[in-house]
Amino acid sequence: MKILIYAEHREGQLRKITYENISLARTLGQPFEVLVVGNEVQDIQEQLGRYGAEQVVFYKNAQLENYSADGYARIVAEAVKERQADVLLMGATSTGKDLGPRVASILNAAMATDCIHVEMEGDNLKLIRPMYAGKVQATIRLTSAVKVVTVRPNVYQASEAPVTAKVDTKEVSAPDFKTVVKEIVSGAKGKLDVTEANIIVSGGRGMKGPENWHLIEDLAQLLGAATGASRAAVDAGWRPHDEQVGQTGKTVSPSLYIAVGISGAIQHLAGMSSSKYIVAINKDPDAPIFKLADYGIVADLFDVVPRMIEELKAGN
Amino acid sequence: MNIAVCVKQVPDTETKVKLTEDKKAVDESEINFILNPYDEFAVEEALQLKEKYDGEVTVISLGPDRISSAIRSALAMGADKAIHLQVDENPQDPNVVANALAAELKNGGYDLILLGKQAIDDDHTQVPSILGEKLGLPSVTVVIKLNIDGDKVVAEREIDGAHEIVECTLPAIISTQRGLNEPRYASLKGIMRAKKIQIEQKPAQLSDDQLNIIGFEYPPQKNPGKIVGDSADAVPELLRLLHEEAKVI
Amino acid sequence: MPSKALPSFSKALFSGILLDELLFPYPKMDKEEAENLKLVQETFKKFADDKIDSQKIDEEAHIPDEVMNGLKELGFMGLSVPEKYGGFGLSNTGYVKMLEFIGGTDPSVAIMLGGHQSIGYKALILYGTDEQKKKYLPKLASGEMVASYCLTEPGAGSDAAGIQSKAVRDEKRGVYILNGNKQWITNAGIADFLTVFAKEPITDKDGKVKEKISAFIVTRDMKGVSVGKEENKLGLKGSSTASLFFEDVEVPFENVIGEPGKGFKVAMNVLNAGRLGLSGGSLGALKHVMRPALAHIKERRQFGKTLSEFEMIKEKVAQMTIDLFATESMIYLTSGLMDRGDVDYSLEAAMCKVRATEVAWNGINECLQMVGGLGFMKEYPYQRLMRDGRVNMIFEGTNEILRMFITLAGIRDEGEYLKKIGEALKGPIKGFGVLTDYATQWLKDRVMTEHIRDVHPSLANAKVQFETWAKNTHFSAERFIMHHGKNVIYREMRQERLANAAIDLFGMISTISRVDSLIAEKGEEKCKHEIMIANVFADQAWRRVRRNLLMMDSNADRQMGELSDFMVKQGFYPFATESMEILL
Repeated sequence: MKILIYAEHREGQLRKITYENISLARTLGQPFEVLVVGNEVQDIQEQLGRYGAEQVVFYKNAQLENYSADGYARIVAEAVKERQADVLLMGATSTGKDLGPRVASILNAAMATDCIHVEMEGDNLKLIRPMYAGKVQATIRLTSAVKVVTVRPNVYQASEAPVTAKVDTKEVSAPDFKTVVKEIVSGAKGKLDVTEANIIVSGGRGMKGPENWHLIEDLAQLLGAATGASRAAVDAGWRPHDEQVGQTGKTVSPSLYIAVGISGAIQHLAGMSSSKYIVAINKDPDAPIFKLADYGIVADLFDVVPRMIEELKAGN
Repeated sequence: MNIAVCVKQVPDTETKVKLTEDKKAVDESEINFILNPYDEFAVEEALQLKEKYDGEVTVISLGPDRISSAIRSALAMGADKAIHLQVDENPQDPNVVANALAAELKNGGYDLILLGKQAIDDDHTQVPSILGEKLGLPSVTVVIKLNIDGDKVVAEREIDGAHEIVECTLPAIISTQRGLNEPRYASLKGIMRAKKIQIEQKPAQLSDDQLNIIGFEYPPQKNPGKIVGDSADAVPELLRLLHEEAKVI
Repeated sequence: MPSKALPSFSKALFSGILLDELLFPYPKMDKEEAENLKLVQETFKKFADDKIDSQKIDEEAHIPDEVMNGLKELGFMGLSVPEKYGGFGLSNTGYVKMLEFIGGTDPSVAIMLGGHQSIGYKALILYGTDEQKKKYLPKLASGEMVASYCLTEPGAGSDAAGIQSKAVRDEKRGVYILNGNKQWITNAGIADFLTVFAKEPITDKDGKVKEKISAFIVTRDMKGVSVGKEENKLGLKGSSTASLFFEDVEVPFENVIGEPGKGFKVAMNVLNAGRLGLSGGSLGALKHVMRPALAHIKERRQFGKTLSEFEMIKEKVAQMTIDLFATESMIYLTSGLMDRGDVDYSLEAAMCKVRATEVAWNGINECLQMVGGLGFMKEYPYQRLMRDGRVNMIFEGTNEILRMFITLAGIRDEGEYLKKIGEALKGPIKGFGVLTDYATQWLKDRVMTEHIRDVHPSLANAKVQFETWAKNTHFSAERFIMHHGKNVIYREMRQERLANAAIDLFGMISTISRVDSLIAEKGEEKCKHEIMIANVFADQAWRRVRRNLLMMDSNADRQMGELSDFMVKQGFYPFATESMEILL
């Protein structure tokens, strides 16, 4: 079973999920190649080699500088055919979720989105993916000849296994684009998205208002974390939509999730319950968040968070 | 403007999902079903465009009999027509759903097809993209800002940690994300109006599932953690635990 | 509207007749209305989640304009206004379910909406002319006008017939001149449409002039109408409650609702119809507060166990569930009777109000108890819902007055009947007891029905208990009339017992009917808990009925009365183990 790993990149930089997927492919013990589609992508050979990719194919065209859904889909589908891959492995990122189904559709392949567990089962894959925002997990099997699988970021660890990568570059002709990306607007300067972050500090209704959010931001900055918010805080207009964690927001799996003044409504818990470690700070001892938390402090967040900031500053 | 909105009926976000005893399926007996929250943004956007450019909004939904209440919700918000693609139970493979929708959509002469970026039950997030391929139309997903001028579409879509401005032309497919608009509440007048609209029923054209669900499990239960303390004085201990025990900071 | 001619299940029950055809099968909403109702509830829930902050409403003692305007725009002011007048046209059942839903979200909002449509414009709907309806209902449905029911006065609360407001006809100008004060009027501060009850001199057939009550449409813009300051209340703080003053207000003749002089009947029938909304709202509040309470006892651990593992906690949870289920069964059976339109439901509505407000009060109290100290804290909803729910036992007929009403209205037919029999046998009622056994038996065989229809075997026991105690209640009522004659009206402690017995019996039969219909629909297997509830409730209820009936004859009523008289004369608690305590 041959796996083709789609290398995700933005603004010329490869993204972490690519390395995670290489590590996953290695543990599956199946032959794999890495596919890069684009124009200028930096350090392909070094970076992919460092994580253990021996064979890299680079489908290149100046017009592929920026990602375009339908354009990329055609190239990727072509690559899957040319490389005779059985499985296309991608990250369950915004790109993977956008591109994957299109490639699958072109190849008449079935696709599994956002897998949190991938293993070999005979000559097929056993895939586990959350449904209902993680309230349950489904074990699924794809029966199509070619299969597309996207894997949730942060689930598999990227581990180094240096080899010398062989990079075959192929100039491809650019297809017609039906959609054209005109611009990428970054969020707040240096802002880390919750789905990619290793640490998240989230605030909820207990924060009492947007004027107190500097506490969340200061703490996040000291920890190198992304900031998140509960639906209550987003609905109240305290925080932007893209910070919302939960069933109608984002599903996250960081190593550390710090819930500040979040009671833990079921729809919030669904979005963050697969975090490796959860810290809850809430003055209500009955808050459901404590059921999930590995560590909890039952006290007023306006006492606790400033103290955390103070201690972390002192520690640094 | 002739607009189609594809919607799905899903369990309420507050629903606790219970599995059947054999864990082969979700027990639907105590579920409160609602219109998929992301689809509400699609309906709202369609209504706003209709108010601006005139036209007609058709709701299309695939599912078993029970979905009529979700269709009524969309009609009550202000949609004009509805088509119910009937199935005995929802297909497991989103590709099958997309095929059935595409079969209905392709002859509708729609200028714009709107749908939520994902259904909050299966969470496949595939249908909007597949539809683009099946119908040969531009498809922009996870859109938080939409501007249509003539047949020119400018959409802002959310990507991880940034936004992308995308252009295409009508007819097009747009999948909607929270932030695009504030969906209106269905007023009582709207509900009364909806009740007088005849929902067109037709069997869905189904292909074979290539994605099979073998079974379900509940996520692994976490052991109750420890309460480190009940005042800010517990902070040093918390940080020590995170550093030494959990090794996450 | 109910009148003497219409059959009443509870009145018949006191007479020993079981009109089970009124109660079986359990009424069911039609599918289309059920689906519409779900959509209306979804809209309300979304709106409430976004806009209604109950804690804030309570603290600021005000429903924000944004909420008021939203409710109006969405159409919630016209739930029960017929479609042709611009409303949503919900059935009674649909309306009560809606108020239950709203009461479970925010009681202040529910009372504002209920004050508007359960009673505020109800007289217009029930007795208004088509012209009156055309003129006002569309505005009331859209919320352009808010309605208020104005009966209570400083000198006339429970004794509504004693109102002092006066309306005098000025034939030349074609108007009534209205004068008077109304007190504790719900929605007074925000209402534009006032249903005002006042007395006018009416000349009867014999040419005698009597002061009789009429109902008037008074609008806030009429000259001489003014509002007092907002009352500072224990609960329901967001709803407006104030006095209204009418000083030489000119009310056009065409603003009389119903016939002049027939206003008391209007007032009472509006309250009859409005009681179910209040009943539903009360239960909604209890259901609402059970969620956090159940979550708490599941999580909170003491002595190494969760609270839910303690038997006394289990008892509380089970009891409130049983009471809730039984009361809910009563309410939606009664709303079904209302929707039939051919049944006198006044007693049942009163029973629902008494039982629902007390079950809710006790249940909320027990929820507060289960969460312990947390329940006493202001940031949790328990104390607010207790405060909000307290007045439900007072207004729209105090539960004491309603108990008197249940018994006295309930036994009136039986009294008439006995009187006629007595006359027929040429003896006073008190002589009834000396009728020959043969004659008594003959009479009983003629009127009694001892059995109701067959129900599912799993409910057979409950059915027998109902039949047995329905019969005994009839006998008790009969003895009550025979022993006390006209004095029954003063024997309030006995009235209370009979009323309580009747409420329990109605609860039993409502629950049996509901569960029987449910089994027929879903099968026994799927109704395990419902069957359990029906049986446990029946068992608890018949024991209470037995106790109440036993105390009809054997009690300490006389001593209780005497002691109370003594205390009132003293004016304070005069007994003390030490002399100091008397200072209390």
